[in-house]
Amino acid sequence: MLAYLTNLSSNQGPSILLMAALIPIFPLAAAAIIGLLGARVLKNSSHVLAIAGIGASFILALSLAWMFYTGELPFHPGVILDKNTNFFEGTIYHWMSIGTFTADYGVYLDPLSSLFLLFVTGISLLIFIYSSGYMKGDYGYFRFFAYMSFFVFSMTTLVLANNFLLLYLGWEGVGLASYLLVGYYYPKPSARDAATKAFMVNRIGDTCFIIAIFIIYITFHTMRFSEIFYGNFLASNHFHTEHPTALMWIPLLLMFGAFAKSAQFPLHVWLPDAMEGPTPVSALIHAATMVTAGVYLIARCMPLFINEPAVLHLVGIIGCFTAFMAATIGMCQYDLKRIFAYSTVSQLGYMFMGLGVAAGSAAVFHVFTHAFFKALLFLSAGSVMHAMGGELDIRKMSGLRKKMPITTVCILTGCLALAGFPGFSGFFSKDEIISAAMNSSWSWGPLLSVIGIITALITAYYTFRVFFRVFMGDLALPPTAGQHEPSAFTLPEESHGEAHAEDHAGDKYSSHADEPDQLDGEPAMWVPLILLAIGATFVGYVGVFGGTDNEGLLQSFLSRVLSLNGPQPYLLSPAGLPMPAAPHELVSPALMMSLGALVSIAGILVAAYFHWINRHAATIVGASLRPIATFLENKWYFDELYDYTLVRPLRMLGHILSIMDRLVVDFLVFVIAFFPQFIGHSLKPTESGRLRYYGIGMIAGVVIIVIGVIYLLHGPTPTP
Amino acid sequence: MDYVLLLASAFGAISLYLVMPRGRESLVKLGSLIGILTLGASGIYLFRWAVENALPAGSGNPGVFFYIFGAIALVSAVAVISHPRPIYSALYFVLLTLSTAGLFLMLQAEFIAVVLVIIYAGAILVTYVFVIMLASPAGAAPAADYDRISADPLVAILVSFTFLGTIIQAIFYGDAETNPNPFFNTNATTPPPASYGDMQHLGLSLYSQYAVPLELAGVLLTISLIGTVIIARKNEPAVHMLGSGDVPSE
Amino acid sequence: MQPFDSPVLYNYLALGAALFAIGLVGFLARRNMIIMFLSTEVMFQGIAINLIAFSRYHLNADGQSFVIFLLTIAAAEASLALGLVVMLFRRRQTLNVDAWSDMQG
Repeated sequence: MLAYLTNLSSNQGPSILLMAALIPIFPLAAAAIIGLLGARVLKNSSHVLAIAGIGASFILALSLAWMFYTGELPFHPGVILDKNTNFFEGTIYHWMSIGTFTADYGVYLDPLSSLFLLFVTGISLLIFIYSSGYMKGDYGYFRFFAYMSFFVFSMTTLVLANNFLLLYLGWEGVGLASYLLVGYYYPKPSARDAATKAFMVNRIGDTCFIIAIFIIYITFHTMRFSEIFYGNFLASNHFHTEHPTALMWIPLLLMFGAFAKSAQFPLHVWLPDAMEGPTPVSALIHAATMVTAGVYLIARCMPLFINEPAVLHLVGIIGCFTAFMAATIGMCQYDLKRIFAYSTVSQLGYMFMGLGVAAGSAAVFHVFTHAFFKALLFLSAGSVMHAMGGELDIRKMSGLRKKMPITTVCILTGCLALAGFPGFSGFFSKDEIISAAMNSSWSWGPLLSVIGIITALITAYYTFRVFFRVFMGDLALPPTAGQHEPSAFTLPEESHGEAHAEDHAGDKYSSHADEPDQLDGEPAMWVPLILLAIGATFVGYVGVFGGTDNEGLLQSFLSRVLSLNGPQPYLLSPAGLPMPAAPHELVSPALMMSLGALVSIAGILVAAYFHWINRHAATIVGASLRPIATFLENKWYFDELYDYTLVRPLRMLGHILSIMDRLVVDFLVFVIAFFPQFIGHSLKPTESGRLRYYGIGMIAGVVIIVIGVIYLLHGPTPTP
Repeated sequence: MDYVLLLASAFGAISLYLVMPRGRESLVKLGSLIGILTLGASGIYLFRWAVENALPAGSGNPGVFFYIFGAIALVSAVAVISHPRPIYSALYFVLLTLSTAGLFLMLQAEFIAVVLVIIYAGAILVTYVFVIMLASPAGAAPAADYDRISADPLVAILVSFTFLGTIIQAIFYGDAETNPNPFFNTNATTPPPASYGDMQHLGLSLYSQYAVPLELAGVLLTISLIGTVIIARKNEPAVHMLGSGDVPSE
Repeated sequence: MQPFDSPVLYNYLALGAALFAIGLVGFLARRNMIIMFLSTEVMFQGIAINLIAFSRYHLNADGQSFVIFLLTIAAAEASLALGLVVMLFRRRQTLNVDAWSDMQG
């Protein structure tokens, strides 16, 4: 292995290929070692290995991103380096080769994938550190870190893949990790159900995705991104006229794959339930990274979408609708994590809206900022949950700022970013998407933009509804506060108890203190929070300042891949195809920005009035709007709708088939099974156990064979 | 006429059925009578077949010792399998061995004849006698039940003599093209080479053509020696298991 | 050349077959384990007569070599089989082969 990796490196020190190859390998090695040795050897120090693995990957990802930023790509033989398109492709090993079909384990690096790598590994690192405090003493501590490391391996594989099949491998890998981690507290039935639901809904998307891959292979006869996107296929007019159906279906099916993974309508139902997993899982997988894989997929396949504007517009419309729908649901939920889950769905809708108006870099910008502030929000929610002993109902807590000062500051930062408060990261990225939609050449763009602005208002409202409810006002704690989250595992374990004891001794709130005075938890939990808060505040500026051509740094970084007027070959579209023209200015960006700021502040003020200053008014207004509130509390009745339209008919069909199975198939099986039994029973007496009869049978057989041979060979009549 | 030998086989089967131990002396005598008559008749038939029909002119004496030794061999073989007392069976087997050795002498296999007597009569039979003595139930003045009464002799004889009839059919009444010449190529008028049958001849064959099988046979003997020692060693726990209760009583 | 020798191959083959058949009857019909093994020795004798007769017929030493091997096998078999008989006798104090019919269906 080592020699093989050394081969990948050039004489001039570690090459890009080696570095890229090592990024998934470190977490994989950590996952394997923790998985094998965790239960016996590592136990409560499992996090050290996981953090070391992800830290190494983060350093590598950082160096790769730096190299892409500065443009200094060290020469390396055997590596395809295309200076025009600024992507970098290399093969680590040949995965499979069947006939003319080949799939390699290769890396495809460009600004897009290096950006994804950077924030995936970075956020993962912070969340791993947080988890080492959050998960302390939990039964199956090592299992958690093994799964998490495996997730990072899959996610980095997904992002680094240079072909669709490898991307699909990573795609399924993150799905598996998500399933395992949602069902982490498997003794709880709700956790098991949520895991199954997430897995089943994702299967729909994955099926679409794999069918899209089949069509891609049939159409292009290759799986590699570089050949599909930058080869001669898409640029040739002939190719478009030859495969019109395939070129329509590929983006459509890819879109459904992305929708399932990224929880877009109508496949969004799994994400809120997935909050049954431990909170760091919600933060990492179901907010910051995995759910953005769909955005990554569409951004990556933008050349395929650009040529099918109808599909692209569908992406935008569904994204916009999802954003609005999820935001309205978020208004009327009471579970802290669920609110943030719907907010994630809503923000993902924004991203797809950005993609739908062909503003890829804006969407990716929002992915980037969203990763920070949503991870921050979830981790803060986790801290609250930790401190409140597993209680998440926002009606039962109030005024926590007095007990959790650090968490309050952090969650305030996150809320400001999510609400799009001017100056915070979410403000810039969300605004860019809305502005891009407004100024899009597509006639529906302004409509989407308006809905986006309304959604932004709702977002600001429900975000600060949570904040004012929980952290402001008079102090009120649920009775479980200060206790440990009741473990789902009742299995007694020695180390478990020890960890508890250490935990209590180390914490500032020990069990003998009647009134907990500080609930922020240990440094491993609040240090990552502070780092994320800094990120959530300031990462927005990379999208605004520092770039060329009056653009943000991030935009000019991504423009090599995603901008409409960049130098990519795929935008040299054949004549006659409807191409999104360069954006024209319907409303100036400055005006849009002010509008966004206004909306955000308005939402915050409304929330402040109803949920901080005059909470009684909220009750009155809520009562007068009871039907709407019920509708929203029940999440637009999507679960019920699916239950009646899909689950129940299928269950009925299952019952019918089960009866059929019992009456027909079982009967046949029984009849078939009866014959060997009957023959066996009737032959049983011949097995007397007496040597004599076996010998007689043997000799009789020999006689029959000899007579047969003689008569067959020499005829029935002997010749004396 | 053609099926005389098959008929003789049938009569032999009947006589053997009567002779097999069944606890009744009278039938044994009847069976012996039938058997001896059958044996004599078939011997005379074969002798006449050789002299009159088949033996080519000038091939000399048809010989009588084959018939004498053959009759002794068959009679003693029947005695081996039908005597109710194992020790007599063993002694009759010595007689069988001796008559077989006589036949080998007729066939100019002098070394084999001697070896047969030494190994069979001298070694193997002694082992048998030892085991018979060792493994006979204590104080068995009358023969044991399982020695006095044979099991299902009819079926065994039917199967075996069908087999015999098939072989005789194949030998005597087979296709002339596929069957070998019924006579030895060499006989009194044209004797075989002097070297045939001597130990040098056999030794060359054994140590050149059959060197590897010979070595393997040596290995096999060693293995069986070790195996016998291990099997026959007195195994106290195994004896102790007798009392464990799940063994059906006999 | 011996004047008493019968030069007829078929007679020897028939005698060998008859000995084999008689040994077979003994093996199948007797219940004493020792006699059963003795019957196999009778069968061996029949086969040895066959082999020697063919050796004489073809005037080569192959048949005699085979008889040497046959003797080897017979000796090995006798020693092993008798060892087994002794062991089985020790277990159940009987030589009746029907006492060992546990493997029945």
